[in-house]
Parts: sequence; structure tokens; C-alpha cells
Amino acid sequence: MTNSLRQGIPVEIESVAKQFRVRGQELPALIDVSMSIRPGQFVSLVGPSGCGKSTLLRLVAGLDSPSSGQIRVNDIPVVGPSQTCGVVFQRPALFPWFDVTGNVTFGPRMQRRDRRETQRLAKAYLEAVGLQGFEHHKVYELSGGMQHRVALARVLINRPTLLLMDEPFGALDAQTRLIMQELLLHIWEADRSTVLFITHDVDEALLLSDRVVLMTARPGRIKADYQVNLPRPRSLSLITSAEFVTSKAEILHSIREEILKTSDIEQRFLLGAPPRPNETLELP
Amino acid sequence: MGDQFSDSFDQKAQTRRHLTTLEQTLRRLVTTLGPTLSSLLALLGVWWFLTSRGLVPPETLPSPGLVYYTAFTLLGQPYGPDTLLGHASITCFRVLAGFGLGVACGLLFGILLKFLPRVHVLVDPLFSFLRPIPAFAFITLLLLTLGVGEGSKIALLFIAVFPAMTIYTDAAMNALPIELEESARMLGSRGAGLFVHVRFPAALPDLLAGSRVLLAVSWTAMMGAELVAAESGLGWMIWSALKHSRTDVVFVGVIMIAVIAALMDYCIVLGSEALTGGWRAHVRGQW
Repeated sequence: MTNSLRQGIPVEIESVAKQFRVRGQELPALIDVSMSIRPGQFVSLVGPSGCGKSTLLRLVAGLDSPSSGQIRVNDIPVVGPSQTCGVVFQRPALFPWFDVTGNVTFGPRMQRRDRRETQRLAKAYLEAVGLQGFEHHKVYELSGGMQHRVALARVLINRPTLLLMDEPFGALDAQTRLIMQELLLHIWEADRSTVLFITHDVDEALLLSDRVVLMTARPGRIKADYQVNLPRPRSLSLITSAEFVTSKAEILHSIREEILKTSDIEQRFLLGAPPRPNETLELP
Repeated sequence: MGDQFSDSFDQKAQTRRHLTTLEQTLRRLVTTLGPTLSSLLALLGVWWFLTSRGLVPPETLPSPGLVYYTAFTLLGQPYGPDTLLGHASITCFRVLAGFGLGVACGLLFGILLKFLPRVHVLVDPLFSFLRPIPAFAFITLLLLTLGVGEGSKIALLFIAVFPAMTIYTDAAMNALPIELEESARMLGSRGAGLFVHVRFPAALPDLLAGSRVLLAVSWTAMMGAELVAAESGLGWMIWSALKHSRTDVVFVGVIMIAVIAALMDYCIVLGSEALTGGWRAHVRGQW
């Protein structure tokens, strides 16, 4: 089913900044973010909520453009959405007027691919995400977890060489999330596209990734970059291993520091204390 | 008592499992038609009671029997230029022509506005100004320019329907949730494909709801036009019968309009159910 010759593509993020205009005020969401992702690397982006993780992902996807700096995917500057790049959003965002197959074949149909081949691929990818027998179900009849599987199959059928995932399992219950994580591991380890995966779940990040990038509280910056040297292929049992727990403790400590920093700023703002020099005050 | 109750409940559930599709359809028909029929029968009963006891003079309210008899007679014998069905069909033709033309043009123009933002800026204030004017206010102008033929009446409906349908379409074009638009774009959908497979289906529920409202508006406008400027049609028939104190004919006309308008409305309802019934509620909210 998967093409073993296919390789992930590199992503270069070069001093990217992004400001939003909110009620007449410039609100910096990202400040000077630089990062380079090797082809076929699975990178998780972790950080407190509102730190600009999703903003960065949207910039890489070409759904927004940076205020300054540049992003290059496969050495080509990003100017808009491209089919080499697949995005799985937090919500499944399926088209309710198509059935399961209609949703999965959407990409190939839009690109006018061969119909028979598309049907065959749809069947294969639905099987890969464990939805055989649901080909002609209405998408709104499926459970949340099944809808996410459809969303995943719908993106994978386009054979993206860069997969962007914005907290794709964030809205799922704990059990379903575990199943989806294992499913993703299984699919990705067979196909090795480049992945940028956003999550606020440290377990999830460590379990899936080669590398975990920690972002600061808003305005977002890269605070730390961990290599995850846990052996592959991985499975859920890894979560209880000693190495895993050590790495997790380290990352959690950094995140805690970040969270404390945010609330410190907020407290000083509320009490009317002046900000420290060289520090921007940004409140939600 | 409680056990008995739950027993019969279980039995019910069991029989339900054995129901065939035909039986289910019949059951659904009875549950939907039942209330409608009984309320209509109740209305008929009150009507019959009022007239048979002489509580209301027959010149004001003819008896159900007389109205039925008149309707039956008018099927064969012309009232004015035409029989009952003749009047009904000419009115239907005018309504469908004016409404259809207005909806089709409004739809196309509304879609066009989505792609021509500069025209949109020019047209928007104009339409917002025109739309609240009752279409009927244009009737004298139309009679002067188009005469008393079919053209003026169809044009009147067009004026009533077209600006409103344009505004509905314009609004419906924005019914697509941003998440769906972005996923469609990321999956390689652009331009015409994005419109046909994503934006238009998402707009369909609003478009159908809007055209349903405009069908009712069309009937209202057509009655106005036929009262003032026609020599045939149900509106003319009612107006003429009123002048000749034939309240029985007035009632036949009114009931005929009610039945036809309800049937047309039901067609749109059936169409919306077939096209969007299942998923309509799922476009917004969780998606």
C-alpha cells in the first residue's frame, strides 16, 4: 500500500515572526522562530496553550503568511496550500454531504486522479485505519474516534510527504487517543513522511517523536529542543519504561517553569507593577 | 401494575423489530397525517356547525356543502372566461414562472457577487434599499410599461423574488465553516471544484429555506396582481366573485389557493429532505 521509495521532505523555518492585529493592537504570536526539520523526522511541538503552536503550523501549511522570516518546504518557499503537505486538524472537519468513501477520495477527485485507482486506494487506506465495512456510512453516524480515522485516511490518501497535525487527538477520550496514537505510529513507521505534530500531551509527544520542541509562553519562541532516542518500532508499552519516565520528568519541569512565568507576568500586570526591562507584556 | 406496564413495553419493542419497511412507512404516514387530518376535520366541523345552525348568514359564510357543490360545478362550467382548473393552472403558471425566474436569476447573481467583490460593493446598498419596498408598489409602473398581459405579472413576481434571493444566496455563500474550507484547500481543492463540491453543498440548506419563504411571497404578490390587473386566474376569480356576492366561489378560490400553495411548499420540503435532510444539522457545530 505504501510506497517504500517515498521519502519525507525537509522543512526550514528561518527567523519567522507573526503578529496579529487584535482590536487595533499588534499582538505578537511568534518571535524569531528558527528550526530545521530533517526529511522523515517526526517532530512534536509542545508548549502552554496560546503559545503560537497552531500559528506556526498554519504558517508551514501556507494557510497564513509570516509577518517576517521565511519558511521553506523541500527548499521551496511556502506561499500557499500545497498538496505535498497534509493537515490533520483538531476537529475532523469532514464533509457531511459525502459518505465515508466520498470524504476519503476527496483529494484525488479534486486532482482528477484515475477513478478506479482512487477507489482501490480509498479501500486500502480505510482498511489501514481500521474502518473496513464503513465505506458507505454517513460520516455523522460515526463516533468521534472513527471520524478522526476518516480524517486521517483522507489526508494520507494524498500521499503527503509532509504531515502537519494540530492536536489531532486532543478532543478524543483517553482510550480512543491511545488507539489512535498506536495507529499513527504503525502507519508512520511504515511510511516515514516528515511530521510536525502539535500536542500539549507530553506522553504523546515522547511516544511518537524523534524530537520534541518546547515553545515558550506567548509570544512564542523555541525554548528547548530534545532528541528522543527511544528505540523504534515503538508501542504503547514504552510509556512505562525508565528512559521514558526520565525524559518526561525533564520536559515537564521545563513546561512548569514556562507556565509559572506566564502567571507571574499576569499577576504583576493585574497588581499594576511595572514590567521588568526588556520584557513585553502580552495578555490574553 | 408496574410489571404489566414494562411487559407491554417489551412486547412493543419486540413487535417493532419485526416490522417490515412497508409497515414502517404506513405507520409514519399515519403518525404524520393523523394530526393534520384531525385538525382539518375539526375546522370543517366548526364551519358546518356555524352555518347549519344559521349562526352566520350564508352571504357571509356559505355552508361546506354549498362550497363543495360550487367547486364541483365549476370543474365543468366556466366562471368568467374559464373553469376552476383553468383559472388554477394559469395562476400556477404565473407563480412558477415568476418565482422560478426570480430564484434562478437571484441564485446566479448571488453566486456571481461572491466572485466579484467590486460589483458586490456597488450592488449591496442598492439591493438593501430596494428589498423592503413591497413588490406590489411597482404594479402600476409595470402595467404602464408591460401592459395587462402575462409579462407584467411575471415581472412583478420577479421584482419580489430576485433581490431577496440574491441577498439569501450572498449570505448562504458564507455558510461554509472555515475549518471545512481550509481542509478542502489543503486537500488540493480550488476554484470551481471547491465551489461545486464544498461551498455550494454547504449553502444548499439556506438556499432551500430561502426559496421556501419566497414561494409564499410569490403567492401573496400574485394575488395582488390578479386582483388589480387580470382577466383570469384564481385571484381574479375571487375578486370578481366578491363583487357579485358569490361568497361560495370566493371560498372555492381561497381553498384552491391554499391547497396548491401547500402542495408546492411540500415539494420544496421533500426536495430539501432528499438533498440535505441527513446532514443539514451537521454542517455547523461539531464540524
